[in-house]
Amino acid sequence: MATRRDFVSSTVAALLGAGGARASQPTSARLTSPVSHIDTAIVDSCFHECRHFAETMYRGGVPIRSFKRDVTQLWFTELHPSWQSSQSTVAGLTSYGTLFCLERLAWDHGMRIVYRAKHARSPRGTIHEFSGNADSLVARICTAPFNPWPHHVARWLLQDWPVSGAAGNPPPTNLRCQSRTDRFTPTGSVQLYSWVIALPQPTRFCAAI
Amino acid sequence: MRTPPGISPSDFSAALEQFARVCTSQWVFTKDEDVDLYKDPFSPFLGEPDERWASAAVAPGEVEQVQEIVRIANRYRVPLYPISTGRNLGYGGSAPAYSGCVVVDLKRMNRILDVSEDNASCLVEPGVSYFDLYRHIQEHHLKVWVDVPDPGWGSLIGNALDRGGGYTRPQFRNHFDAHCGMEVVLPSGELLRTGMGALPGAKTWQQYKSGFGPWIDGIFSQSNFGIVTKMGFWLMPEPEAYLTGMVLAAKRDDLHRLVPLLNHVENSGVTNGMPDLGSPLLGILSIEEYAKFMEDRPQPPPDPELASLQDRAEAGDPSGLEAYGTRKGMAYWTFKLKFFGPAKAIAAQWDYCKEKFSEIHGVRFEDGPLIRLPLSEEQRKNVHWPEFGIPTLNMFSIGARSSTNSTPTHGHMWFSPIIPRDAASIFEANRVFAAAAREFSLPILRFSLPATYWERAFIFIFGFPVTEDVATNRKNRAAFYKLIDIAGEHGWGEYRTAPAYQDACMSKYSFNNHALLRFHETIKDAIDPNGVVSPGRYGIWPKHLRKS
Repeated sequence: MATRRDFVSSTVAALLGAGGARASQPTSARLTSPVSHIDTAIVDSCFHECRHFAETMYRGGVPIRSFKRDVTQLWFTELHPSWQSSQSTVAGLTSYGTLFCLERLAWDHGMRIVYRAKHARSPRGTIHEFSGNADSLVARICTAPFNPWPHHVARWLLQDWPVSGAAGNPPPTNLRCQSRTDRFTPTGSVQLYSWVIALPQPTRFCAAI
Repeated sequence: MRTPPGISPSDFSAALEQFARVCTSQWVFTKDEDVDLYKDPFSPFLGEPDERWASAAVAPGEVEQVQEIVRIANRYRVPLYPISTGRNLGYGGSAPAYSGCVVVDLKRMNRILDVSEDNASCLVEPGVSYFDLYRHIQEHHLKVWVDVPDPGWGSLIGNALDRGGGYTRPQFRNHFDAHCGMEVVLPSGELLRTGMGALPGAKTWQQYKSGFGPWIDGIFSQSNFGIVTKMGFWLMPEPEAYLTGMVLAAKRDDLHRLVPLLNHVENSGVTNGMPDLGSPLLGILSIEEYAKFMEDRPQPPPDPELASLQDRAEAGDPSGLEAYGTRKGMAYWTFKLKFFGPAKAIAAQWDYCKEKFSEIHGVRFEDGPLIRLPLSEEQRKNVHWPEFGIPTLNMFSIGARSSTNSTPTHGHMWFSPIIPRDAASIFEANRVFAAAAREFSLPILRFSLPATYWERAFIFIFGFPVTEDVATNRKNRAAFYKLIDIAGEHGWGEYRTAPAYQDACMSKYSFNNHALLRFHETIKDAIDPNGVVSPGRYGIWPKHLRKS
């Protein structure tokens, strides 16, 4: 039990990250692959992992939008107007708070989370928990556990996910795997979520409007 | 799909079919994957049998459709639960108070019907969020502010009917008080307008609140006497400037003078922003310091000497802490006063406050910067947006798992009693709630200061975590109920609560053998004999569901 202000501050995520690169302006060259079915990828620049996710998405032809901790401005100026005019598909690597928020705002536009995974970084590596049909992603991570997992996730979303994942609200599953990412990640425990918000298939209107 | 209790499957199907005829089937939701979206994500019963559930949902787009839905519900005795946007998380969300209700989702009714810069008012439908109105104001370059709660993603009407609060001037940050006129679909399906809205041809619906005869608007807040489909609000004219001034006092007992002086300057309208109370020595951050805390790295823990002195101060001996504060230049209390208005006027207002607070021995003052409004982009980066009428989602960025927060909670529920606006009550409430926390093994931080949303009363707002662990949630619920009892014994009542606790809180307002609740029930029986609108909301049950 704590006051409202202190209760919130006691649960404050430091969200320190490692500063991260400006994800919207990666220096790497783009891949020549065709523009993805994902219209935009958004990342929280507070988190080091998001840099890898953003770079891979960008190289896959996906425009990147980054924000720092608070998604308000990005949602207000870009996501909301975009979802008003067309229910564009958005992928992200963010904190749970951002995902929680955007998921509910997306409901207003008939959109849903169609892919979601939790990535819990700890000193021993990162534990991944997936919802939906993510066997091939798990396989990718398991076969290269020392490579940056955000790269695997982004590649998988760009290449495999349309086939395996876009069927609607993802059922909970117990798919778990571990990547040892201490080669590039900062220390400390952080929980991130990779996700895709899209109009579920088949196209129809949703509850919560 | 589940059927509401006591309703036959055939009747329920017939009702849903008729809802679909009214709204088209596209806007009637019966599949679990749709209806589950209306669960309260912060339910204190998360994953337990008592977690509230909806049987279906219907989303009308016009007031006539709402009327027809209510008539159909009466025909089949189907309970309804109207929501505006359902985003009052921590106070119930979109889940019904009574499981089995059909949620009437009003988000499609999202028209901003009028915004008058001259009258500084607006008229909106329930689906209009603070963001929607803020966007409209910005796009039309209107010189008015809407007072927003934090977070600001909810509905103006929903928040006002829940009697929520914000952060600007007193008459606006009390969101229900800021309303002017409403339109209500009564449980019979009849349409009612209050205030000047009852006078055909009147152009003063959003200008004069009370109209003629009994002023009934209040009975539609925190209640189940109708479905509000339009509501007017007074908006705050954009002020010319903003100024803050800090009052710093060195002694624990100074609080006994600080609060009456604060009351005087606020009740006189000399300070007109939301006062912000803090205590550097006790580690209680002001709102702005807290916002900064969120932006920066967490502060290091206090030095051991300070922690020890804080313990002694809480045990009743503040002398060591006061001496520490003198040595380190740290104040015991900080009262940040805020002023909106013409630059010259608010500078004079702050001068007057300094004169008044100077009666406290040793008091110091810090002048804040004068900010010319509107805020520049650069200035926006350094302020708490809601204090400037700017809605934000920032609140959601702070609960993630991190190196400093290894056990994030699933959600929260707020325990928020109203206490008298005096220092003795602050000390007494801290003593009582700290003792209760020890008794029920609740984690509690050190001495707490109340919030100042309301003009003439304090409110303590304590957060209880909702976790994914059923046993922990059960323990927290039990403690919550005990705290309601303990608060009630001291004359402190909740201003608002989640459905799980509404009966318990209402039971404390028991003067003259619960005359108030009995009056609520009398109204309910008269205007909603079938009990179709929001049964159980705020402890008001229709006769057929009422416990003896």
